[in-house]
Amino acid sequence: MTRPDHPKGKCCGAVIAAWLLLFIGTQPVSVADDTGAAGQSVEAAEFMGMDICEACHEDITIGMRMNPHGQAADSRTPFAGEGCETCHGPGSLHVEADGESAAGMLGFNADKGESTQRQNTACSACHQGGSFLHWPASAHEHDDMACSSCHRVHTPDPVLERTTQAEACYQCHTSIRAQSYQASTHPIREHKLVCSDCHNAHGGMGPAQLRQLSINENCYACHAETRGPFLWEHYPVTEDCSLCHRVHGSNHPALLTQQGPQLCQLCHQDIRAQGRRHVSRFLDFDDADAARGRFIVGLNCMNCHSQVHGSNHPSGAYLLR
Amino acid sequence: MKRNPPLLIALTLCCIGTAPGAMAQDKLQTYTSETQELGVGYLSDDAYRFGRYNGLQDEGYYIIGDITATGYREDGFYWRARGTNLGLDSRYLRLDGGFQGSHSYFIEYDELPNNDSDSARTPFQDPGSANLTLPAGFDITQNLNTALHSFDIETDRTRLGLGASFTTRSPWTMDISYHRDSKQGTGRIGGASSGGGGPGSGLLANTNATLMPEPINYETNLVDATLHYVKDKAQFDLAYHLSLFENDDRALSWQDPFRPTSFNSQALAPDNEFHRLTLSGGYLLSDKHRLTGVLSVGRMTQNERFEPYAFVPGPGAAALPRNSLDGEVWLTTAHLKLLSRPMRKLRLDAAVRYDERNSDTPVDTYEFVGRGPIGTQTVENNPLSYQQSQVDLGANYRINSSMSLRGGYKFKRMSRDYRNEERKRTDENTLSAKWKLQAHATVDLALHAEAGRRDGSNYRAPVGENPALRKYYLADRDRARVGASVDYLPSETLSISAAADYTRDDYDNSDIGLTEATQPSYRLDLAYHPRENTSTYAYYSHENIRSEQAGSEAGTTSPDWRADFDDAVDSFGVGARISEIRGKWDIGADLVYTTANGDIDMKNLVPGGAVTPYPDLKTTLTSLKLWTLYRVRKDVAFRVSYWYEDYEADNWALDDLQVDSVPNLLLLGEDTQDYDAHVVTLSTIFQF
Repeated sequence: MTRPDHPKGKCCGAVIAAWLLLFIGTQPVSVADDTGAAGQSVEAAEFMGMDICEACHEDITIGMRMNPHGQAADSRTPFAGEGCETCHGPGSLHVEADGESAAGMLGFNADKGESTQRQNTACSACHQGGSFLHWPASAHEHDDMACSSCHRVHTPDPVLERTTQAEACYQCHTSIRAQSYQASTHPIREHKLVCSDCHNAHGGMGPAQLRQLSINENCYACHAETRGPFLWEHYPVTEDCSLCHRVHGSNHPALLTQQGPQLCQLCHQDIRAQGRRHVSRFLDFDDADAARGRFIVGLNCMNCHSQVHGSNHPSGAYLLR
Repeated sequence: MKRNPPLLIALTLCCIGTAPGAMAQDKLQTYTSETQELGVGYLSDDAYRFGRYNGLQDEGYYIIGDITATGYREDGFYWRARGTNLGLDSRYLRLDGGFQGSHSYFIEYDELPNNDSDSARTPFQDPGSANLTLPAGFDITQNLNTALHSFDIETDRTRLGLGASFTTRSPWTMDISYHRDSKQGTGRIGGASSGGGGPGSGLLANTNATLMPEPINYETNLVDATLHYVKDKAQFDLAYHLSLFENDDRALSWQDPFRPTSFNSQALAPDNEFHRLTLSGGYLLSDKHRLTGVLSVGRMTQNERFEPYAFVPGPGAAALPRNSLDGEVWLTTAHLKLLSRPMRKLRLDAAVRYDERNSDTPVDTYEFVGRGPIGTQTVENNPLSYQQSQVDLGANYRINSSMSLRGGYKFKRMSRDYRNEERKRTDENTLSAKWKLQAHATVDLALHAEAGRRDGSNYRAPVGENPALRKYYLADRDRARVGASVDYLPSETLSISAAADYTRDDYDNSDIGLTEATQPSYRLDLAYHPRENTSTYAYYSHENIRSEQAGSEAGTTSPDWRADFDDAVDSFGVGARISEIRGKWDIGADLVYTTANGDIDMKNLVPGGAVTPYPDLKTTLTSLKLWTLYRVRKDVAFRVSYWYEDYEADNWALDDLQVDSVPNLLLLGEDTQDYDAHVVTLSTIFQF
């Protein structure tokens, strides 16, 4: 028995060393948004307190007390601080103007003219770390998206509800909606698999903002039977599931990018006498009715090579057993 | 189809429904909200595929049960309940509770059916078993049809989860959860067997193929534990993930329908384990610089006992080099990203990433029971290791208040390490740019483009494979992407969005294999809100997924056939909602029409060579939902809905084929699962 000798990545050591150096050696320094966070932008305004807000906005504050932001007993929440003004800023000018002016206050709608950065700074004052760790320089942050582009705070948040989340994402990701109606899909229409099960919209550790570190690890979360390691590996499968599967929906069975046997032929065209029979036998669809139809219909190549994700049979080379 | 026991729903709803009242007795103020929907639905006809993931496939009545309940008490105690589809096999129920900001808990239960086919037929006596046998006296040439019987290809998945979260006033938070994921049912699997003849009885001697029911009895246990640290300037997570996969069936054995005196076996998915420890963090270095990073190590192992070489060991049977694989793979990821804002209008980001898969799986020599007797062909296993390095650089410059420009560069190197690898190294360089413009207060425009080139070390075709073939994921490739989008809001009530994208992959050094792929798409979305209580929408999207493939029947380096593939997908949707009509009525409608057509155009490049074209692969889905809701009182409403769905598909790989239509292949005789379903529901919604 031998064990494979692999060259260890020199790059790995350098990256890890740099990472640790920065991790240990850096003293974090304060950062402040150049436009100022909520509650700091207008010096003249003063905090008025929850009772004043509630006098006019009771419909909102009652609703807030039935969501996590409105729990004063939790010292981390806005209601444990200045109440509404924790996020919206001091409201004295708003009160003095009998509600006619929102001067000094922060609104969380694009049509209020607030910059995305100012809005998001107010949210990120509390929502940092955890699932928000990779928000800076993430795809949505690059696209200048405000938290309020997707989330609602005063009313039930459609993004946090499994039955409404996908529709919220489809507002921008329209091609995914079309793919969810194709012949072969994950249970997206039925809300049994929602976007956030795989993706972290705030920035993930993997490609395409995936929650897991790689595409394959993401798939293994539900399809652990394909994880292996197998005795006989199928290299592209081991490397990247999406080389053969189109995960949001496909016109072909099993979410494949293309119908077999042609999909397999992209990588396999044997020229040996035994193997060439495979190549030559599906040029013509007439073949489907002949003996060589076994390469075309049913599960095509997988009629025999059934172990495409890898085989653990000692005689399973060529993924036959 | 299994119907949900009404008692279970009633108990669940009653238990949850009484909770708010109990809390009201406390001196502390409690805020509660609860919505229950209870009713009955009726499905007009059996529609197996219609119920693929929702469990609604049998004609008849079913129970509607949905619930959303929330309660918060002044001292931070809270509970939440969410239940959907409680009357179907796709039910979901989650209960959360605890003291917010201190400790909280959840329990959840989820069921997911997957109806694949109810038209499969097989001569095997006990579908779902790991030991498939034929009826006594079975002879494929004499009595196949009398031996056939139907079975369903379907699975049921259940997921049970428990979890807790602990928070202190310090920066530390701890989350821990456990999930048990069970998947039971029957799939389909192919199996090769020897037709006999020639020396020995190897697998590749006059091979026959049989499609069979595959037993699926999986269980995966998952544990996640994460320690969070969050302060204003520094945050990190230390996470541990454990996944234990178990398959009740180590192997599938079957009696060969073509030679009932012989038996075969193949391995099924082996038990395996995965552990991962991940440290990720973010640091604000200064008011202009932020650093994030990930360092992770994972270990995958698999040590399932091997099957013997031959199902019935004969005199020539060799000893296995080992009884199990002792497979071990280490996964390492290191990722570092720096985000800088050196000027108010300029943002820079730079990232380096390293991913490694390092296989420590032992390499041994195994017998391949192929063409000849055992012992005439041996093969060494050849585990994959790889290292992937990536550098990303990006700059975003806000030219003025209405215009910004972003540019990026990415380098990705993949080094693959296994014996006789086709290509040791691939390198990909990609440049990208995005331009955004607010052309007017009501018009946003965006253009983006990307150009990339992948190449690498010398390509060495494996022995026996066409030397002109380049495997598409290793081949040289030029990639170009362009796209444009426009968002137009002509009024406060109307918004129009349109987008178009085009991707082209050119495999310019591939004479055989994938030579080109293009993907044009365009989309149009409209939303119109003429009044406060009225909203309408419409969308249309079109996408082509095209590719060109070359092959050589003669086994030469010049292609003698070519195939053009074109999957064209059109999707159209329109809908409307009107609420609070006379203060009591809501109505809504949604219509979706999606069609996909897969065309394969085969070309015989041999002068005078004939070819019979492949039929198209077609699917069409029409879905119409109409509903109305009438509020009898503030807290009670009636809801009536109608849902029509029509699905039609043509798949040449399945349709019109009997189990014995093709010599040397035993099919399952399945058809594509067309359906025509009408569902009517009547329910009462209680809101407290």
